[in-house]
Amino acid sequence: MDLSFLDSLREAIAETVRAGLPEPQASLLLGTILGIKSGFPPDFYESLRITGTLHVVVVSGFNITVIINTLAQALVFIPSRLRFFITLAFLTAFVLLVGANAPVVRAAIMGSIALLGTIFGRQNDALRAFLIAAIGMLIFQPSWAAELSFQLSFLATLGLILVFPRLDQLLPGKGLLLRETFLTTISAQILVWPLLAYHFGTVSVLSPVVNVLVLWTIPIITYIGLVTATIGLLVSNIVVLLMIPARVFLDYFIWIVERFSALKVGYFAVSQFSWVALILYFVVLGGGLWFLYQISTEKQLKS
Amino acid sequence: MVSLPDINRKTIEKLILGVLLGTFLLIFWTLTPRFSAYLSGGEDLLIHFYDIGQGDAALIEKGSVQILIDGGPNDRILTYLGRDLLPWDREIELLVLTHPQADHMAGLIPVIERYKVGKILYYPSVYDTVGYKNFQEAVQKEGAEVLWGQAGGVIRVGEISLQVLWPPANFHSDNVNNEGIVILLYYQDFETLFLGDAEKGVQSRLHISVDTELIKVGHHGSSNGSYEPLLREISPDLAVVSVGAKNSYGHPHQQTIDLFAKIGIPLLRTDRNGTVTVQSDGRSFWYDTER
Repeated sequence: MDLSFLDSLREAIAETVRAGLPEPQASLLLGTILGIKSGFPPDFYESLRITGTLHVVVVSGFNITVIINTLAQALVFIPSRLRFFITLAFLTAFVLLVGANAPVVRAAIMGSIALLGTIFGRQNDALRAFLIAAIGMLIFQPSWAAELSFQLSFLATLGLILVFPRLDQLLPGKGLLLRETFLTTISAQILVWPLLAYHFGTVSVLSPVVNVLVLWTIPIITYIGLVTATIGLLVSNIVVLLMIPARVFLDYFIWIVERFSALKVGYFAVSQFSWVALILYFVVLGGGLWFLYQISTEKQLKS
Repeated sequence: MVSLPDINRKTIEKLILGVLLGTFLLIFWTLTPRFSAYLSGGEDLLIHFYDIGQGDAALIEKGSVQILIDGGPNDRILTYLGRDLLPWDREIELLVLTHPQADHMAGLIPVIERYKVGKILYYPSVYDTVGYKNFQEAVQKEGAEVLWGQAGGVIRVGEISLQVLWPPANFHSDNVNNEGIVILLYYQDFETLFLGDAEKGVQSRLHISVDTELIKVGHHGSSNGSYEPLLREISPDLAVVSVGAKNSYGHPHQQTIDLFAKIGIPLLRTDRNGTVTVQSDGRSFWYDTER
């Protein structure tokens, strides 16, 4: 199948966004919705790295999740079987448009399985969906196991599935604004930080704070960005006005990231450590989680 | 399966939250310096000498009218334009390329590609580089009105006048720096001299009869970039060197720094002071530096 038209579509969207937004807003939006990394201003890329928010543009299947949820909700009036296939068709087109890299494919497979669960009324067992996605991907493309982006996305998702429910039980303040974002970030970070430290020799303590402050904008940016970029393709002469809603959120995101990266605190260099220590960390963490899981099930049995 | 009203309620809640957050951000947005300048009238002339590394890039603004003189060696100019232009302003009324060396030209290419450019002023130097070819292609594709820089020409953009002092018609030099466009900017009683990379030989042939408040020092402050008699003739109150930190050329040269100290002209440097912004109401002027 000739897919070169997808390349030109991607290029056309990039051009539209760049005509409507300055830098680093344009790069941030293109990185978020389409995973385009070329043309990133080096200073801003460094700011993202320092604040631990680079995953938004580098290792992200977030846009996929946003698309699945949006379509599934927007199409409620369509019969469920048909809805599933329409969503799946859109999803496949989008995955091809973005480029089928590891995080995107993982998010797409997991999202589809989850969607299958909600639409057909079966129990949505996230861990099972996740394992199916991971094993399926590795059978299809074993070399992904060695890719950092796969490992990071794998660990982050595992954190969301395993750590998040425990933290959610343990910590008070249910329903508070941004509590969920905060816990989500922490849950992912608990599994991801040793790998980042191992590869980049740095640990960002600010990361959870900055992520809490900015992550909530990403679904909004993805959604508004996709819609306005698509309209912009058709009516290019008003693209500047179209981009203003997305720009408001992009400006906020950039402002926060730049402020925190300028602080130059909360960012530590760690000395080299062995991969044995890395494994040990995950073993201890796994044991701790299993222990917590036992306690919570015992409590449930007693009550 | 999740029932329909449930989804709707959640969607509506999210929508309301989104609108609230959007409003909050909009308020936050109007607190940024760019906006407050706009709201307070923005009646003054602004000249930004951007810290873009080793190269030249200066933006002149009056209200919604912008003139960009050179674009620096890289894309960093896009970030500065994003910061200084209002979100809905994607038009540069006049773009000037003093001469086709990469440290002045490279940043202009993405600007032409991404912004609407009204007029483009440059001198048709013969200069065989890929970058220059790309620049000319971008100019052609943009379809902007092209003006050839030639001594004696005056370009009016809004309330700003630019007088081209150099090069004379059909001038040719083997040193492309000396084919560079030299501009004297007039805004009421405030004048600024943009020398580009013009060297002593060119500067000795310039005759400027008006008192000039501000000067963009020639050729990044190199040893042959400043001509003492010209400086004494126009007696500027402030000089700005556009130069990159720890550049391999050793710009600005100690001779130049000493010369300005001797005459008593304060010298600002984009490598040490960061972006320099000069503001004028047409009579007096004041400035602000990033560092």
